[in-house]
Formats: sequence, C-alpha cells, structure tokens
Amino acid sequence: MFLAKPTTVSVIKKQYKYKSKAYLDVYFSLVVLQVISILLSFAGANSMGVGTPTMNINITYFSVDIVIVFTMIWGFITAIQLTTKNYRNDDFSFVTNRVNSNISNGLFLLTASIIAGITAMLSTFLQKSVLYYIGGTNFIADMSLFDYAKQIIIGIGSGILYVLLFCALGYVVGTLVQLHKSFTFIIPASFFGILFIIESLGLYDLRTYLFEFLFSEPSFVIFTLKILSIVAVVFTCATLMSNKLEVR
Amino acid sequence: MSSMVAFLNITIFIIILFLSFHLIKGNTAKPRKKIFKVKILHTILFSYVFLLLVGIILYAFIPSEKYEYMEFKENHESYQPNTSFDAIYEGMIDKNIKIGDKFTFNYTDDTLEVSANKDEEFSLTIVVEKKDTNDEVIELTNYLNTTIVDNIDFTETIPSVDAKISGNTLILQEPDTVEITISKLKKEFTISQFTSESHMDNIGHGFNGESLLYIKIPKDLELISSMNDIYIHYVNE
Repeated sequence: MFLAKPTTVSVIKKQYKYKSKAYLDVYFSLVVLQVISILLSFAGANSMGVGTPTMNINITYFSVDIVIVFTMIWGFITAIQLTTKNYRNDDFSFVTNRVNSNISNGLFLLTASIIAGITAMLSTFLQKSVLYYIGGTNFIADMSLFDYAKQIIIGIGSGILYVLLFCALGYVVGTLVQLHKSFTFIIPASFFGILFIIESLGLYDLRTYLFEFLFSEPSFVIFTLKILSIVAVVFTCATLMSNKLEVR
Repeated sequence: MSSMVAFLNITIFIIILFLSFHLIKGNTAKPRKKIFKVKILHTILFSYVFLLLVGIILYAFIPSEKYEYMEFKENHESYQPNTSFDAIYEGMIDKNIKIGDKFTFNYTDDTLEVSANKDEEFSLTIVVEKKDTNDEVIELTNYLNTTIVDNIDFTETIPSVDAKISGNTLILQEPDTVEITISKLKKEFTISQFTSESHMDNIGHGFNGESLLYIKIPKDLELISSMNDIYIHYVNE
C-alpha cells in the first residue's frame, strides 16, 4: 500500500517527460536524414526544357519536397522503433498500464512530428540560401518573401500532419509486428497485394479516390480533420492490439 | 531524371533494409546503446536549428531576378498564341504583337535575290507584302510570337533575324540559338495542395519561341529565292 496514489495523468506526464529525454537519439537521425535530403535537393526537384531552332529554355525547379518525404519516412521508422521490445520495456520503470504507455508514446510522436514538420519546411530557406550564396544560382520567384512566409505556415501545418500520419501508420505496423512476427511479411504482402488487385481489376477510380482523399484535399481544415480522424482511429487500434501483448 | 529515380529506388531499398534490421535488432531485450552523450547530442541539434534560422535571415537578402511576370491564368481561356500570327498572312497585323529588330533599305532595281547566310536549314517564316506604290524602299520587320513558359514571358528574348543588302542580294542572317537557363522556386506539395494553382498547368503553355520576318517591298519589285528551303509567303496570294 502506498501513501501517494499515482493518477493516470501524472503517470502519462512522467512517462512523456522521460521519453522526451531518453529518446533524444531519434532527433539525431532526423537531423542526419534532413541534411542528406537537403544535399539531394540541390540537384533540383524537377526540370523542364522546351526549344525551337532559335530558342532553348531550361527551367529547373527547386523545392524541399524530398526533405518532407524523407521526414515522413523517418516518422514511420521512429514510430515502429517505439513499439519494439527494447523501447517498450522502458515503460515498466513506472507504475503503468498499456493504455498510459500508448498515450505517452502518442504524445511523444506528436512532439516529434511538430519538430520534424517545422524543421523540414524551414530547410527550404537553407536550401535557397546555399544555392544562391555558395552555388551562385539566381532564382525567379513569383512571390515575395513575405507571401512565401505566409504560405510556409500552411506548409508547416500540413507537414506536421503528414509526419503525424506516417508516425501513426508506423505505430500500428510496429504493434502488429510485435503481436506476431508473421506480420513482418503479411503487411507488405497485403499492401502490394491490394495494389495489384486494384490494378488488375481496373479499379482506377478507387485508386484515384484513395490518393485524392488526402493528397488532393484543397481545404486545410478538412485535411486536418481527415488526418486527425485517421490518426485517432489508428492509435486506438494500436492501443487495443497492444493490450494483447505479453507482460514483460 | 532517370538517374534520380534509380537513386530514389536504391534509397527506398536501403531504408527498407534499415527498417528490417532495426525491427530485428530492436526486438531484443538488451538495453539500447547511446550513440552520443546527451551534451553532444544537444549541441548537434541546436547547431542544426541555428543553421536553419541563419538560412531564413540569408534568404531574406536574396534579390529576385526581375522578369516580366504575366498573370497568365486570368486570360487563360482566351489566350491563343498562333491566332495573331495567322492574321499576318492576310496582311493584318495585331497591335499587340511584339516587334523585334527593324531594317529599312533604299533599293532601285527591279529584282532582288533573297539568300541566307547560313549553311544549315533556314527555319524562318517570311511574309512579303507588296506596297501600292514604287517608293524604292524595302522595310523589314521581325515580329515575335508570344512565348510564355510557366508564367514567364520570354517573347522579348526571341532573337531577331539580321539583314543586309549586298548588290542585288538581300542576305538574311538567322540568329544563333538563344540558350536560357532559369532556376525557379517551386512551392512544396504541402503548400501547393492548398493554394488553388496546379504547378503542371502552366508549364509550356503558350510556347512558340519563333519570329516572323515581314517584308514590305515596292509594287513592281520581284523577289527571287536563291535557296530551296526559304519559303516566301505573299500576302493575299
């Protein structure tokens, strides 16, 4: 019998604080991945050329799309890592249950997504500065820094949500793999199998719908609601599944 | 581009390998090894954040190249690049057509040979209009077809044909190919998804990059083409 009875909130708070300090390594891998992808982005996102006998025009476009994509992959991998036994056992340093543990993991991934989303989008300024001051590249911009900065805020918001989505997907994949090792093969096989079925049955509308559901949603508010709903469902599933895991 | 795709494929493959390795490795109950001490880790992270902030400050001082920016989307529906050039064949010149170099020569003979000062194929379009009078003046005007690529108007950078008269020959010098290389900022997909424009819609739209040489000659002057590949179109013929 203890004099002080720990509440759910205090346990989650303690676990979150502990994880924020103990899992600092994940941010190192984020920095490495973002630096590599910034270097890759110097080659240009894409380019186009048009020409006639009198004139050839080549335009190279620069963006940090690759940094954002790499950050999304990082979120996926980081979330899987959190579900491994190695990390899971850390939670038993506290008086806890699986639900609290999952909530603190969720909060940690949310924090990581915010940091990753902000740094990924801010890397656009670093990329352009290096290209201009070191590479001597002159840019054509059809908007001022102020206009771009306003749009960057939207970019940061959606970047955070995309990373969070991939964290949630990674978390549920990791949890499934921890339930049974066979999921290591079943999940990728199912993913490619579904893609193959969609292609072979000619369900192109379904494929387009699935893609456009998130990636072509023009309203930021609806996009946010969609992502948060998916994340909530995915995390709930992961929490329910993790209750079936064996005790340490 | 294909090398970029190949590189991405290899990267994705390495990531999958890394992922599998981590899943197997991380599933052991052994305590995790710290790569760096916390202090070093903090230094690396703060240095990166500092670098990103320096990037913002430096970006603010980058001057944007000045190019004529055309709000192409507004007249997207009505814009037809070749219509104005088609009218020139009928001798009707639209006021909005941009004009390149102009040449005027005094010429008194009855015949004039047209030749090109270039061994390669001559790709220029020549339209000739006979004046109503014999004023003994030949007027050459380069008309530039509207050329817009990804919202940038390149019309004025189209090179004009140079011309000179030597004896009874009008020598046309087709210009060397102009090479334009441009770096343009592209909005990240996390931004462009919510701003209504589509990046691919504007690319290449309205590209023509050609000029037309319009020659006004005295009423009774006869033009003779000395090269087979120079095609001369006479107005209203």
